[in-house]
Amino acid sequence: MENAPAFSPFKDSLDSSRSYGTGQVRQMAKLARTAMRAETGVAAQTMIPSDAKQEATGTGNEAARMTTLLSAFQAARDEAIFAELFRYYAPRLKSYMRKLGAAEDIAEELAQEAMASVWRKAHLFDAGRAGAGTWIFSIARNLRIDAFRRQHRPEIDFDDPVLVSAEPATPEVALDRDRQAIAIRAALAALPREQARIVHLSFFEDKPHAQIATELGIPLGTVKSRMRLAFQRFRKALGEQTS
Amino acid sequence: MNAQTPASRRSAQPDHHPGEELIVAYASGALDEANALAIASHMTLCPVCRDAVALYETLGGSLMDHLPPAPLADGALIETLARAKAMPATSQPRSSLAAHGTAPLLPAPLRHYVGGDIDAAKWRPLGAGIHHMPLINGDSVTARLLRIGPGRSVFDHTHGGTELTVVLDGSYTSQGQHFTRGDIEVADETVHHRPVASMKGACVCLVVTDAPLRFHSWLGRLMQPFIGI
Ligand SMILES: [Zn+2]
Repeated sequence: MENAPAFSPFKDSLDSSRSYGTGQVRQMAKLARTAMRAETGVAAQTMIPSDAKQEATGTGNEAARMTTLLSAFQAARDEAIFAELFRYYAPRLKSYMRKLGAAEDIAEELAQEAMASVWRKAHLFDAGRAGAGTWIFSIARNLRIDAFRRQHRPEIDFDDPVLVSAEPATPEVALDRDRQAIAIRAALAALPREQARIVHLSFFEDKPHAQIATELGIPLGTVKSRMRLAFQRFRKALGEQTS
Repeated sequence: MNAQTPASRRSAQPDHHPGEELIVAYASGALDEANALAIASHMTLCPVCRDAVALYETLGGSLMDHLPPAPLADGALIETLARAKAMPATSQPRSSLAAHGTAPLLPAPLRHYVGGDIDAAKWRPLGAGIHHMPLINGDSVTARLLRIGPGRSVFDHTHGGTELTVVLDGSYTSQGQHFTRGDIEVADETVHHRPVASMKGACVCLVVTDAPLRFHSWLGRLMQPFIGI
């Protein structure tokens, strides 16, 4: 991944005025509503890390350390190593569940369940593909889809014989995952406040099932263009970080 | 690991992708099951979108990393350890599927719903050379496999919402564009959608519809009760 054009397959969707599923629409409408409220200063506080740039290196080291720890746990299944992973991730997992609307006790329960999954699924962790934080995020995400919506999460199988592989990655492209995480962090920090907020909300707002009516009043075109702009700028900032 | 893949199926990377919003929604977990199935199926056949999802999952991990930690109850670690040890480790070997002799046609996320590869599909005739197999019947979103006979077409229809079509076998033409294996088409309410399968063979697709289809031909309207959507 060198710069933004590497992701160009999306340009047709960035340029078009297509709309997406009602789920998408609902979610985008909600994003827009929140962003609009934000403009008038009424929005719920969303964490925008203004100092993420300075923070990035330190956190990157922490993220890399956690990946090393998870790999060590995978090899040794040592309780002391697990305890260290737990101290770092469990409170963040709980926070993630709280942000997505889980009550205190449910969030606690889901954080514990996610960490129990880390224990049980550690042999599936592949440090070449994702850092510990990314892998644990995906466990938490799937767990809350299951818990909040009672839905199965269709997931890709990386060992699927059907999988179509890319050209072998060049060394520059195969930026190691933890450094990629640092670049992503810095790219996020480089985003204007409004766009950073949209990026945050798209990860921390769950799609409400029964709120279409409320959300119909939102000009959809504006919502969609804002969301596209946010992710377009994110890609661009990421390109600048990694070039 | 793709060594046994027949050359005819070792397709090039797709030309038609879902677009950034759907990729982000899949990575963040905002997408419903049926639409997520379409994205996961496309991703299996598209390394570019796989990378894009990985990127946004890394973003998700990074965002979670920076949330203010919420302290857990006393004894949470002990409880979690007990819970973890009470359940057997998920122990299926990672490469269980790669052991098969020939590569399947359907991506793994779809095989889960079909109950096997394409030969396990339980087709129901819809007439006019079209068959289907419902996979997910949600409140407002449905996913099904559709098989369109060679040269046949799906009735002219528009959508109350959005329709995602992922080509799995054969090809079709719609709106002057050609869609082959791995391609995903996103059609919304403004599109008069009338995919025509290639003459060369049947076209098999995964179709995810987000609101009831509206047919425009008398035959389409006649067929609607049979489709049951
Ligand atoms: Zn793609």
